[in-house]
Amino acid sequence: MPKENPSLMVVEDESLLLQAIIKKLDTYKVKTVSCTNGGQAFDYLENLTQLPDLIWLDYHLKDMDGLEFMNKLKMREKWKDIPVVVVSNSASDDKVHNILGLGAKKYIIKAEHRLDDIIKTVLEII
Amino acid sequence: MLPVFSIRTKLILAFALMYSIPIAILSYSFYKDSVGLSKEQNLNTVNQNLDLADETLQSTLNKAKEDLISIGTLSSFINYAFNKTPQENDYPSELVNDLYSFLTNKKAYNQFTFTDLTGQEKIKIIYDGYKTYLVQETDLANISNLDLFTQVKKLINDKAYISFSETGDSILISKPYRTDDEKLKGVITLSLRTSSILETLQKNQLSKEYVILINEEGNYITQSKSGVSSVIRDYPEFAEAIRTETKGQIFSKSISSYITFTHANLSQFSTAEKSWILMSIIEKDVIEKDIQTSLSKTLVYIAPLFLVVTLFAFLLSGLIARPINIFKNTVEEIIQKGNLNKQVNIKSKDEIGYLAEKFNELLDRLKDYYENLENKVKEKTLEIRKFQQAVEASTDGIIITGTDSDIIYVNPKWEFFTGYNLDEVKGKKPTFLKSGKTPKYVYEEMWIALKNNREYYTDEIINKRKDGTEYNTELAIAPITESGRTIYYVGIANDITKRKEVDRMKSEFISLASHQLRTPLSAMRWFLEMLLDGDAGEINGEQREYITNVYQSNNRMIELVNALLNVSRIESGRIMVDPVPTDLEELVKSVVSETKVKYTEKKQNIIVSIHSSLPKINIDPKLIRHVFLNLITNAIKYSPEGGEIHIFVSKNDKEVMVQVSDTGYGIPETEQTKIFQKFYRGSNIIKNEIDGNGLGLYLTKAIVESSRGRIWFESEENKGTSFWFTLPLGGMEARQGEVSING
Repeated sequence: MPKENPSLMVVEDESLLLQAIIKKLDTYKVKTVSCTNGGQAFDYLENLTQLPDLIWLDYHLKDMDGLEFMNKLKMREKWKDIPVVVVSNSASDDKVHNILGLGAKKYIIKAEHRLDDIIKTVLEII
Repeated sequence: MLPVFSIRTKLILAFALMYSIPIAILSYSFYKDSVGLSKEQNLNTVNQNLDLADETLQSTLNKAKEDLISIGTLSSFINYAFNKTPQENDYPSELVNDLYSFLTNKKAYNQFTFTDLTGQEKIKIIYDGYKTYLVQETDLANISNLDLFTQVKKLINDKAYISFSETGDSILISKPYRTDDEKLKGVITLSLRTSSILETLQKNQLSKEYVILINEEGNYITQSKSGVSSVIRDYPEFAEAIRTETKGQIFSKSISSYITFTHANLSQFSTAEKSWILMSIIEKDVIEKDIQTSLSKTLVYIAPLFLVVTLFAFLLSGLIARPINIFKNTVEEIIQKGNLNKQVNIKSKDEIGYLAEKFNELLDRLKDYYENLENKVKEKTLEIRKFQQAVEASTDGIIITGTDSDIIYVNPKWEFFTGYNLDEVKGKKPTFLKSGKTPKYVYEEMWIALKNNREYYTDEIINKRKDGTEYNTELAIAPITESGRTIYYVGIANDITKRKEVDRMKSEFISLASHQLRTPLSAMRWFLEMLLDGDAGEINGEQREYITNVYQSNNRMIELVNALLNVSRIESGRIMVDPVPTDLEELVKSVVSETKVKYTEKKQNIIVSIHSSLPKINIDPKLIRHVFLNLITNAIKYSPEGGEIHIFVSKNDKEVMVQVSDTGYGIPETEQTKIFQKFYRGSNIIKNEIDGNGLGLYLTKAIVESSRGRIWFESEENKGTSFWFTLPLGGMEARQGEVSING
């Protein structure tokens, strides 16, 4: 069941997409932290007083890929339980398999789904 | 192989053997008869001669008696004998002269004696073989006391008395001498030389046969030259024989002679002797010599016979063997010179003639066949040369191996891209080309195909050249069979390194471009969604309609990108095949239910009919689902409202066959060859149905074929289309890959 006022960290390097996601999430009354690269995301995680309920992660980032991000995340005790949903445009089986193996909850192809549907799926996980 | 024993030799030997036995038997019996006959004849002759000798003896003695009588009738003798008292000067010179001439003429007698009644010898004339002389009165003896004188005086008949002379060299023939008035006057005696008798006896005898005359005591009457001592003394059995037999024949081993004897017939004479025996002695050798003569006689008869028979055998065997020899020589000539125009020239009406006739027929046929063959060989050689040149000039690499995969041939093109030449690789297995980078399943699949006499194609092989550099090769390999047995493998190999590189770059480009396209497409999609959702405020009806059109176009673009991605994945061979035992019925039903919205919207009906005992088959459900989805979606899309779609899933012992039939627009006949091509869309449906990118069937076919299935269709415009595809019951083979098909 969706949590009341959940908080989400969205890591997406494409600003247009990020804008759309944040705007849509606003309509769902979800608190969001948006990052355009991996480094920024980890900075926020270090500094935030409250950790996000879920991380929305694009696989291809300018400074790192999804696997690297997951590895970094899992190394820190306080982060390792944060659920991650990968929303990406490329989905080779290897990638999907590897990242789910590292603990990602789901792997969603952006273009194939309505944004609404993706958000609903993500909120289900929280 | 030359015949060691020619038929002729054999025939001669056979004939010789055949004739030798009767000839030998004949010779033997002839010889045997001849020997027996000869011996018997000889001994008979001896017997007869002995009889003859007996007669001769008698006639000689009779002659002597007659001569004695004739002396008594001489007038000179009568005058002398009847002169009572002869005076000294009254010498009977006339008588002496007569007697002289008598003895000299006769020569057989050596003495004549006249004895008066007192026993006093009166006249005695001796012939010593050279001259005749008168014994002097003083030397004349009185023989009155001699047995001879008394015996003769007693003789009353005409018989003569015979006795031996004291010296033993003469037989004395004596007679009483009487006057005409039968008054006894004295005794006359003629002495016959035994040598003369012997001469007479010997006259009729065989050579080396000796006839002797003995008395019963075994004493010689006549002397013999044979040197035989007293036969009777030495051989008691002979003495026994002459005592009991009048005639006989005995073989004496000690002197190695046949002795024939007969008692002389002395019945016309008077004698004191008990018996005279005529003996013939002939050496065994003489008889045997005659036997040897019969042997040579036999040879004289048999040898020519044998020669004649042998000659006959030669001629006959030659006659029989001649056609065979002609045959043999002709065959030899044909073989040596290869001259098939030659004929065996034998006209005989026997088996050989028949054989020759048939052989000639055979030769004719052989000739025809040979000429035919020659032409055919020429033709074939030309044909082969044509193919050989084609193979050599081929721009494809060609490799031929034996069933043991040892290389037999590679063409220049193959040499060119591998760097090896034919001499280096001949007899080797092509494994030296392996780089180790070719996926293992390629070789596995290849060998399975070849073992089952199927062709195999792959473009996934990565090999190594002679210089060590790697290259991609595509290989089409096919077994060459003869009467069901594989004898060679022929491979068409090409260096496709560049093509692979281009393909890879193309796929990468498409993949990259697609990914790049997806980001803006996603942004567009999501913002349009927000507009339509009213997130940016309410929009009016017309605005909604336009935005919806943009939204739908955007979605089609996304689908197109997805399809392009799948195509590029399929083409790059990076598709992963992950077969699991799959229930096809479940799969079909799930696809049907997934498309329910679409077909119910068009008031269509889908009828599914599935084989009742379909086993689970080992397929990649993701890929096969895509196939079903594509075919069913097409059927829905390209059928008018209210149409009916049939799905049949059946199986035989090898494969599962799926049929998807619709009652739709169909495919124009002129375009039916293009429908599996990329981006093809039927000219008749573009007007009715804008949705679609022309990649679906291309992808579907690629999936079915990569699963070792086949796909085909039948279609009639405005009547409908049926698609069939098969999947091997054995299932698909797993394949490592990077990506899977995107649904």
